[in-house]
Amino acid sequence: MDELIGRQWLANQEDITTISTCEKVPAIQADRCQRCGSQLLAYLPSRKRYCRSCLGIGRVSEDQVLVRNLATAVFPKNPAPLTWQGKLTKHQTKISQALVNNYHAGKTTLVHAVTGAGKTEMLFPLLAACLADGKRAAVAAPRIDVINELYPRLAEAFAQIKVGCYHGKREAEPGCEQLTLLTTHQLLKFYRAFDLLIIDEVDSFPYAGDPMLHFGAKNAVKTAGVTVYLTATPTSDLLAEINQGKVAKLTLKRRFHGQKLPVPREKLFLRPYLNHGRLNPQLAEHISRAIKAGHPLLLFVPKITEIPAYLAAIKADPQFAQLKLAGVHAADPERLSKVEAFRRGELEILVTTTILERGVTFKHVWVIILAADDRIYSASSLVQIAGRVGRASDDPTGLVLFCYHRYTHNIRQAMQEIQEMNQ
Amino acid sequence: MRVCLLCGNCFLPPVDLVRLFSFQAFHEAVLCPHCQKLFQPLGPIRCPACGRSQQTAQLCRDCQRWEQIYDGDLLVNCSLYHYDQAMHDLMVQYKRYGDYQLAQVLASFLPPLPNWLLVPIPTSPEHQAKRGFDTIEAIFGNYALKPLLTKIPGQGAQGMRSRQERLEAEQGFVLADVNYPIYNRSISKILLLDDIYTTGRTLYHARDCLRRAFPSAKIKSFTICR
Repeated sequence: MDELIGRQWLANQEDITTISTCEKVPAIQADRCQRCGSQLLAYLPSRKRYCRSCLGIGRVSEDQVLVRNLATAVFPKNPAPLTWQGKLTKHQTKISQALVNNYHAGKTTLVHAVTGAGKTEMLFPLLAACLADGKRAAVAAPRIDVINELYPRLAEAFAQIKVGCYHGKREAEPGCEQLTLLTTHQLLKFYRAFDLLIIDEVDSFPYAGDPMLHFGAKNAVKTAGVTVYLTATPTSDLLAEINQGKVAKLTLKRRFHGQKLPVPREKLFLRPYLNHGRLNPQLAEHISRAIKAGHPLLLFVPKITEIPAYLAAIKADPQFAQLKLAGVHAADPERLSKVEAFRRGELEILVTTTILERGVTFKHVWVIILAADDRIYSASSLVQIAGRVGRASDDPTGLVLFCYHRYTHNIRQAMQEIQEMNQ
Repeated sequence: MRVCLLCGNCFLPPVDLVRLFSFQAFHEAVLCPHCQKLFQPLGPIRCPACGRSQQTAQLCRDCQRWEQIYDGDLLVNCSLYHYDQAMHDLMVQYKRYGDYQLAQVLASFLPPLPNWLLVPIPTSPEHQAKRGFDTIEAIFGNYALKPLLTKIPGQGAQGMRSRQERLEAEQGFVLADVNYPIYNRSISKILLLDDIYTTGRTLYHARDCLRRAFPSAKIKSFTICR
């Protein structure tokens, strides 16, 4: 049963197994799903209601109960859980120290750090402070890719601690590890489980703007537990909470190498990017400049369906005939291998959708965003995409090009945010 | 203003005056125009037997095989939509996760069905108990269905099998109730109803089963996607 400490799960009402540490609540109460907080309920033929929001992790219906295991997990105290040997920069140390202090003071904190600031490393002392006490910690992020990238780094940094990694693509049900990595969806399976919950990339889809995931995150942390939010572009709801004094804010304006963020160039296009299957000459010019400078190029397009057209247009251009390129999107079965090939330098151009907007690092990469005025790009997406460039200490600059037909509020806001952080 | 059952956005259903004054029953729009466009109707050129959308109007390879197995007695099937990613996601949400509301979405795809004896393909009792509804009957709920078939329990789902395993699957149906008064009537036309036509195995089995009770009836099938 220890596996299920801090978990909540569905059971039928007639299920009579009782564990002394468990409480049972009706799964739907006061017109609300008690697991995800949603009011999006619909009727089954039996006239019982079910919740349509959190279907993906098992349907909650009115005749069921949520069983919550309220036991406290006990882990041995460990004076030095951190086995990481690296060193933090001066800026990072300051933030990291403030995080540890806020944790001991029980204060919820938002870390606003520029892209490429080295956020993960800054978390190590905080996590170490929590784990050393024998307390339970979790690191959550909205996207599976981010979790997959964090897992090996955290497992290595805390080599003696059992680290769990859970998301929808892994079949395993969460267990009771002292340090858990999981997607924000998986948090719905927990109830008052964690003494420390760190949520990375809070501004990103699907966490941002989804009340269900916010509800899940609030429930997953203990009543006396501490939540830490990490972001490069704080969302308005978090900024409001900062203004109300509910959340403390820490800002880190410099990347780990101490250089400023590359400021995007904006370019107005009067003609279409593609005309009868041929690249816009100005666009071709920018692409060829990046290639001649020897930089791999990420080409962001708003829609999956546009990827093949751009690939064909680039291939059709005689000056790019020698190049190796590929397109990648969320549903692409070869997604991981293509991204890996691009990282190893085997591809010169990668045409992609917003799936590569964050959480990935490619050495020396330059970026062109086509149709930066498309609705799919929020200000935070644009800041994140721009943040892919200049992440290495030996190459802190580079080209970020916003191509647009119509100057949008989101482009202006992204530019303002980048310039603000550069001051 | 209505709320789209798939994306949850509000939308104004298009108003069609001709349909409004035709005084015939029609399905109120349950999908916003954007979500509606996600589903691709099958093309005009199809396999004459299974209704698969293809380049030529010849018998497809699957049906050539059925032609051999059944000695030329092919099952004529009609389908509406491609079983593509969008449809797959919809079916997963509906059948695997049990989102009963989505039966309305699938029902909204239906054309008027002919006045034949309508026999739904049954769900296994285990699945039905777990979901709390019958996936096929929920979709075709607006029609007078005759559930003449029952599934032999404990056979598992077709969706969980590989293509080869599906084709080799054993007959999974029995006639529901042998004393049903309908068996005494002479039935000339029967339409089998299902959600997805994949290999055809299920529908051919269902037809075999019904043939025994109605040797002279003409049996065709209708599925939402192919």
